[in-house]
Amino acid sequence: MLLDKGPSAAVEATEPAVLHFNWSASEHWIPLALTAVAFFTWLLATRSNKFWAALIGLNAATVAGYTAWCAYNHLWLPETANDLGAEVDGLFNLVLFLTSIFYFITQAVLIYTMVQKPPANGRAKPVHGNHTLEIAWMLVPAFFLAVIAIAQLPTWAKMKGQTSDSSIPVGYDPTTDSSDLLVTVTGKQWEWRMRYADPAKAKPTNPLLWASTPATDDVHAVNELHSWQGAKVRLMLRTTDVIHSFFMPQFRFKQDMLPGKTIPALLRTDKTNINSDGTERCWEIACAELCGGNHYRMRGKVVVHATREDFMRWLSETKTKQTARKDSLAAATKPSDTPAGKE
Amino acid sequence: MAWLSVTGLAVTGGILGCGVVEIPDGVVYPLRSNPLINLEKAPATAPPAFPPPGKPEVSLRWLADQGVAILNPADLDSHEWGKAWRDEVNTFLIGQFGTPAKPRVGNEGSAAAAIGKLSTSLNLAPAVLERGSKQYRRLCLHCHGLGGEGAGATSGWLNPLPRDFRQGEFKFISTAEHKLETGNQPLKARPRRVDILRTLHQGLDGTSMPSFALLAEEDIQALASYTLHLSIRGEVEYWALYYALRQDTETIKAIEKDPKKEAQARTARFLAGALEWEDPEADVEDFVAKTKDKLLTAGMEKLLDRLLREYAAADKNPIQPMADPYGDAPTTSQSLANGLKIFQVQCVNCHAGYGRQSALRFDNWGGVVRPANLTTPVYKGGRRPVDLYYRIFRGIPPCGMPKANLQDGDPARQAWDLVRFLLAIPYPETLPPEIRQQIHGGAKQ
Repeated sequence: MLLDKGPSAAVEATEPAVLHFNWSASEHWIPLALTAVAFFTWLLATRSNKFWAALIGLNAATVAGYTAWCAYNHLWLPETANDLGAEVDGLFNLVLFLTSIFYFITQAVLIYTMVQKPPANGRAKPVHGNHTLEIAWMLVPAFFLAVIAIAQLPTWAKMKGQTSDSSIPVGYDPTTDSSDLLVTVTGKQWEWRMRYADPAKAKPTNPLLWASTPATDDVHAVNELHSWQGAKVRLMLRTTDVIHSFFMPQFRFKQDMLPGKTIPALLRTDKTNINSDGTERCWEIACAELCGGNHYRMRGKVVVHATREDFMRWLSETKTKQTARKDSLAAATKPSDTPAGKE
Repeated sequence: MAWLSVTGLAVTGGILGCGVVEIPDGVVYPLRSNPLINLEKAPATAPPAFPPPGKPEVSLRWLADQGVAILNPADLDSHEWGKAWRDEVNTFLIGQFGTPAKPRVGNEGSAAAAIGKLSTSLNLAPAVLERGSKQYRRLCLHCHGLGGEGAGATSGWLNPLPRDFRQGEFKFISTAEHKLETGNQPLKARPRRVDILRTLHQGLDGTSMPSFALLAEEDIQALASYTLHLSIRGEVEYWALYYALRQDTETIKAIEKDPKKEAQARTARFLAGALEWEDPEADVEDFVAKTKDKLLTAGMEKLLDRLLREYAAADKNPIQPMADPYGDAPTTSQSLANGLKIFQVQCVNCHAGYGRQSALRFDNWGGVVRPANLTTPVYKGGRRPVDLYYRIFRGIPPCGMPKANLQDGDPARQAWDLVRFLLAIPYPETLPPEIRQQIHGGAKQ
């Protein structure tokens, strides 16, 4: 891996696989182009109400079509990596659905008021002081807000519940920790240092204490969070300097790391990101809290192995490297580097 | 109309930062302007503290107060010969090392370029360096600076300071002490390529240098090559300016003979320096006679050649760790007791209180460093046992950490006792009671 590949091998550019918005994909330009065309048409058009109404109608139709198209093709949100993530997406879609309804209603009312015939006296009828209307526009939103508030309760409970099985437990009890894997994630400017407790060994009696006092046989890694399909991973979130935010978009997981605190989080890795052909889908870790000049490059990746055996293989490989008493790289760079004509 | 909208969108895209902005060809590496430290006289007293945040230059003032010579390149401006000297150095550097947009080592077709290109351990082909330069500007520049001066925008607020590559010195190396094929010592302790790669892969734990392991391997390789490029460029510049500025007795005597010929006197000193190191037999006078004009340039060319061979040679002289006599067996109490005994002879002077009460000291860059606190499992140069072995048996030359000197008995056993002891210090629960008592006191269990 660390072998010199000779001068020519290094020329070909390969960007690291990262999650990004594909600006070059033509589908994203369609609504922008339509909007631009509409804008210039407006500049030229006569300012009749009917034209305005048509424009607003066209806009609403474009937005609706684009939204539906993106949702259908899964362009808005990255892949979901566990059940909790899917629930969060469900809530997102619920809110989107409710707001869409009212978007179309308001657009329809707007268009209706523009195209209907003006009253004979040329004056609009004021609605100020209409109690029925006022009660209606208080009760209807209140109802829908209540729906959202109630609908999110189970998900919220799974995230910030009292039990240690919550995603970010409010009342964490180290004695009832039921996780399969313990990892301390320490954010520092500008990387994530991961420390794994070997799951083949006895679990530390107090994971919270373990997070601040490393053990001799811990396995250290940088920027790579490994797990296996079906595992419950206890993440002990810490920081050595400023506030960082540990964000894994695929898990819909985001939690600040606060100086002086150890935050126990539970991550369920229900799905593997290793494809059947052995390639890996990029599941990114990013810092979601501006933490200094190099904030942008505080980035890592999650690897959920298909089986526990695969994970243990990775762990033992890392451990072997970590406990090397010989430089395993020494042989790699030795041969064939005689400077021209010197020896 | 359609064209107008397309143009409008393109302009918006440009403003938002779509597309890659390349560094213009005309941007050149800045010639060194910050002071050089004359290392010939070691500082007598330790620094009082770390420099305050944002003011790393304060430590140079502390050094100056102790009578350590601080050589300021700006002083060259006060002499006609000095300006000419500086211009010659600058022309040479641009000619041999190119620009950030088009970096290279050695002129097209020169011997230096051939070494850099052909040696796979250096891997200094222009295409590789160009790729490295691009990544460097994206990821490294704002701490390490455009020319590798370690003074990027954020550098002043970091402790330890980002490395200034231009001295050709590296802290965490696994190169054995060796001689060049000419029989000389290398000018400085050189890193092997894997040492630089290790730092790029793992970062330096406990410092602001992060891991770049998730980059494409080709990018990491290119960054390692580019680091070498900056180091070699910087070191040629370093020695050329060093001899233009330093005031040792011999130089002063030579200048006093004929004050008008200061440039010639200093060039001779520079040549003596460069050639003497390379080949004690070489006759400076002879070299001077052969090279009728541009003596300084000829000297710098020789120096560049030498540096390239030094880096190539470093790669072929790794420390070969003695086999661990205990193999994979767990550490025994006896081993720890032996390690402690060696520690108390070899290490405790600097790592007082197992590093908790280490006294500060100056490093070769004029900065302030503190010997590591070994009671926390944070190891800048890597946490593998072999990394600790390298630190013990090579030391950290630029910071004055000497290599351990194990004489009596079985050296392999002693070495690995010490490594095993160091790795156990941070974990009180793994230590036998009497050693735990000694290191951690009674309180910590």
